[in-house]
Amino acid sequence: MKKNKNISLEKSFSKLDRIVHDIEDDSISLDKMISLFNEGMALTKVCNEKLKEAEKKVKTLLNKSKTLK
Amino acid sequence: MAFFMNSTTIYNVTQINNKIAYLLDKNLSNIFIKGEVSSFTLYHSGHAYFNLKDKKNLINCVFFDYRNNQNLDLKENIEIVAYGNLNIYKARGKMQFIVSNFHIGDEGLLWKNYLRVKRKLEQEGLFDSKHKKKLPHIPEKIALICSKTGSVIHDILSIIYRRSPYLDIVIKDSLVQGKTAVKSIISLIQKLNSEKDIDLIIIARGGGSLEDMEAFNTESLVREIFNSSIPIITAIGHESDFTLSDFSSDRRAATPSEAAEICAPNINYIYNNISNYQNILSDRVDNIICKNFFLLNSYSLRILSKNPKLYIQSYNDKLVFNSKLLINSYNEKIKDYNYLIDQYKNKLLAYNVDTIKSRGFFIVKKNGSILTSGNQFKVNDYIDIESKNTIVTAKVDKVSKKNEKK
Repeated sequence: MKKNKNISLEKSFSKLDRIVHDIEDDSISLDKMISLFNEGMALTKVCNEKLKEAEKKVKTLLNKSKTLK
Repeated sequence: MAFFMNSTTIYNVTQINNKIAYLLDKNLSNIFIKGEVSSFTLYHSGHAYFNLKDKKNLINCVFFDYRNNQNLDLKENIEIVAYGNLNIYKARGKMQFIVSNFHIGDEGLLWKNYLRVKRKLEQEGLFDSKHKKKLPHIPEKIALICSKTGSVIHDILSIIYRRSPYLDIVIKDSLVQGKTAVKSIISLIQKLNSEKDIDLIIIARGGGSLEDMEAFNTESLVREIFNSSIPIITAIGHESDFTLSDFSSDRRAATPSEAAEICAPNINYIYNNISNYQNILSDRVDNIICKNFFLLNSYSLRILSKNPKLYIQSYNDKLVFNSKLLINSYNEKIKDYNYLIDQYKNKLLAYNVDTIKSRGFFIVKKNGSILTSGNQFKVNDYIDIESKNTIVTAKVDKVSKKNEKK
């Protein structure tokens, strides 16, 4: 799942959306389910990391700009 | 002018006065008349009546609402240039010059020239508001063209330093009066335009007479101000003075202090603006991040609810259940077979030799082989008759056939 690290958050979310859609299909095979589950969980992890990183960045930037005054 | 030629026309008095009014209005509006003031009278109504005369002639003049116009100093026997419209007072058939403005003595000529240049440049569109350049919101470097001596520079600088201490000010000392001033200011504007890093130019000068302001009414300077690609604020003279440079500049300030206030935004205002934007930005970013976390969470929950572990568990449960079923039915079958086997065993037991023997049957053997037919018996054969516990050896005495029953 290393390739996921370089895709944008927006793309990750649309991918997640598709995975959720597919995995919620009742006719899915267990094999397919396992592979989608793995992919989905990896993606949520990457997204979570990215969001946390963004949050941290914003906090640092705000702190920096506050010292301007 | 056909009606002049038409000698057969007879006008009544009203008609001819109307014609005269029409002609005067059409041909003698917005004109200058130079003359000496006489018989000046200010009426209770506030209107002033006087005559303008030269050595041989005289014309009646009226200045409406004279009393409410300040700074007017019409006096007997002074030479003025008056500006206005010729009109006829129809009730008396009296022609009069309605004065709207005037200048005294030599100023009158300067003023006439001022109006001439003004009209010309106005027609060219130099004063159009559509040409006004937008002033920078927060300038960083401005140039100030003024005289280094005098209070104007002090007024401007103190206001700028107070309001925008960050502002970089280039001071260009210049004459602000006379022909040399025109050349000096023009070349300064050109030079500043070539420097490229100036955001705004202020041209300032204190108050003075029309003569003092002449430099700023000079066509070449007025044009140069218009042509500058850097926005120019002019603050020339008093609030009531309008030089032509004020008209062609991008913004006219009533006083030098106002010019400073226009170009120098209050630093607190800038800080407030910045912090406002910061708040808006951080709110927005927080919002977006929050929303994304929420979205991500909902995706995670949906995916987790489809955890294959749960499904595998349920498959496993099914498997255990089914295998139990299988084992049970297998055991049942085995039981069934065991029962069957017992049954067969019992049936077979019935054919067991010992059992048969105990029921009174004997086995007859000859030379160790069981005899199954009477035909195998021969007279004098030795045969062994086996019971359950004994063997009797006997000699065949006679073999006879049984009588068959009919």
